[in-house]
Amino acid sequence: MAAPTIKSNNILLDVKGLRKYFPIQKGFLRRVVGYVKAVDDVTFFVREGETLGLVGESGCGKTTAGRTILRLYEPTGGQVFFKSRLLGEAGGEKQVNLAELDRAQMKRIRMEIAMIFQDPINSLNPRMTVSDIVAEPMMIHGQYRQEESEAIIVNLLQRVGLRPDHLRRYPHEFSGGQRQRIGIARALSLNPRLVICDEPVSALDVSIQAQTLNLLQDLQRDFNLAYIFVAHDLSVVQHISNRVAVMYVGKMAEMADAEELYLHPLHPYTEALMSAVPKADPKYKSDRIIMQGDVADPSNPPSGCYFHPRCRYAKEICKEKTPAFRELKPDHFAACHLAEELKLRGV
Amino acid sequence: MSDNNVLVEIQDLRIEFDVRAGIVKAVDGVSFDIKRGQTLGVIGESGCGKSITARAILQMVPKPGKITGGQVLYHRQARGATQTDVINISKLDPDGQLIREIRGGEIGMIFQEPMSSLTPVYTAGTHIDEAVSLHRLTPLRKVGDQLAETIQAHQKLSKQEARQIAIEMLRRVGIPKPEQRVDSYPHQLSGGQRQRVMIAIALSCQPAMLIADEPTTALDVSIEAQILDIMRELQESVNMAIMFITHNLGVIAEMASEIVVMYMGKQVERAATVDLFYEPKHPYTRALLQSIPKVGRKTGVRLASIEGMVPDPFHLPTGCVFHPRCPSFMPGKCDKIAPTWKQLIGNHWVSCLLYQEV
Repeated sequence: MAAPTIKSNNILLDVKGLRKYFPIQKGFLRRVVGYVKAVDDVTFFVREGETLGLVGESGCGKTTAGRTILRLYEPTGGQVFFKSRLLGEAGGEKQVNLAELDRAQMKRIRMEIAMIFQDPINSLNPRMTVSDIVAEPMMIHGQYRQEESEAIIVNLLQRVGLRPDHLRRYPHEFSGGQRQRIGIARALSLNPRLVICDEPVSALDVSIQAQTLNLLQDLQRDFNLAYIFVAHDLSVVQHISNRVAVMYVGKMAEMADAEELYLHPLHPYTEALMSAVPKADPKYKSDRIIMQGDVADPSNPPSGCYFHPRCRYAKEICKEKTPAFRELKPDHFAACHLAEELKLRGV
Repeated sequence: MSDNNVLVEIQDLRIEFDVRAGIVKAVDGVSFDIKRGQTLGVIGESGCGKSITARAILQMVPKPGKITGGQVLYHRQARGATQTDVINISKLDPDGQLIREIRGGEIGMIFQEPMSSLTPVYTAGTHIDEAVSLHRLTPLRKVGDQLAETIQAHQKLSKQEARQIAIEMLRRVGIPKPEQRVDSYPHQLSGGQRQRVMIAIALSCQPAMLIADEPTTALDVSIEAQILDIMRELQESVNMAIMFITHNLGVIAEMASEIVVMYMGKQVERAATVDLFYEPKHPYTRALLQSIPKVGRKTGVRLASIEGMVPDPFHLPTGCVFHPRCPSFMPGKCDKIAPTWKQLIGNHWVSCLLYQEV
């Protein structure tokens, strides 16, 4: 079931064929001897006010994808269409390709797309007070107006569950969960439309994780935010996401509505990944599919479908041809040659 | 003899850290047994004292921590012997010969962060060789080789033999091409492979018990599944006890037969895994179980979260330490009286005033 919060079919962010290759340099002259294809032909979209979960094993390029959208890394290729309000004519919206914008335009876009980082300790400047941290984005973008902004900051901090007397304190005085709330307040200070959350709860304890997830959901409802939720914890992703995209070694494996993806996967990688999630039920008899070996090396990937060496259904064609990422059912995309014939099981 | 299946007994263990800001009771009256060949799970949030308890079993409490009460009894069984000696580990000299034999040799340990637990300048093979030659034990052998084991038990192994064991161990934990990998340095291995090397080191001496402190927390689910499988398989083949520390309730449900739940240095509940998951008694355990999202059908409900935060260890709440966050808080009782450790039914123990007459 798609969550009822989505009112429109309005696509806010449309990523098409995004690529990010990191060169491998060797020797005295730093010759380029190869590339790590961290993000290789990635296509997905995010609708207004929805959460897209981005999952995959470590090194699959999910964080790089998030950062490349914001041009924290320069994309090697591909397009990132974003419906911008700030670059549109007087209150209107305009679809822009983020990959082509100049510095000044990109800076304005960063008011509309914010980011929350994984590590709440290292992503806050230890020498700045909470109010400085939350005010900094406003200062950078010239939006800071003394009294008005202070009221906004107090309001934001209360909204994320911190007290006004926390304003003059430093990050080290807070617990991990509180620090993550400061990071969330900072991300929201410019009233963005899209927030890229990079593993926002994986450093937190179970009880704090639940609080933070609830907070993110409340904020999404109140401010009509869209999230790209990058994480490796599949149960957390399913809980918070409307749709989920699965990545494997820089490529898209599957994308579908969250429940559809978990119950009726179309890609063998998704199936194996789902079956590996430990269930918090001691009576559950695990019949997990153990994937052999490690994730492929993105600087020297296998031929054909990158997943074929670990795939239990692999056939000849999988070694030879790279599968296309195609729509197999309405709103359900997968990149597998055998998607039509396989009967995969969900969780 | 009460129960010769017991391997380690922890009795009313108390560990304090005397720091400038005051005394932190990191472990406050914890008692449980670890039985041979079984897996005991310890769960709790960060700072609840689960790792310190594990370290006390090896007499490795970091300074300025001190064991101020209670004891850790280790029922040592020499190889091939039927009799057990009881060793009070908490009385041993932390640098003494005996504890050094036990540490690594009879009780192995694996840590959460496989990158920082391996020396970057040694190859994988050297790490395992070191463990093997330190404890001068024979390798894990097939059933037919059991005889040879007793003969070799006290003779120091040659370099070649130790290397052979290292390769064999790497193969057993599922590292591909172990003959080559034995010469790899930790940075050349992936996270999952490093954790396997850790397991190989810990198991190379056939310990009677393995302490696994968040062994899969830093790993992906697919690798986690592989590692858990290896641990279970090896446990069965050598009848090893495991103390499994984690905050992941899914992992613990799968691995443990009995679970201890800790909160702020105290044990709040202990039960068989099925009982704990299906009939949790302590409000903290219940809240923990409700606060995790489950995969499968989407219910659309909000997660039940535990209100508030873990309290400041220097200013612990009066009475029951959980009362400020407890949904079943009884004013006038929970904030005044500290609950005692009480047996409910069978092997289900809980420390909560809901189940006590006061």
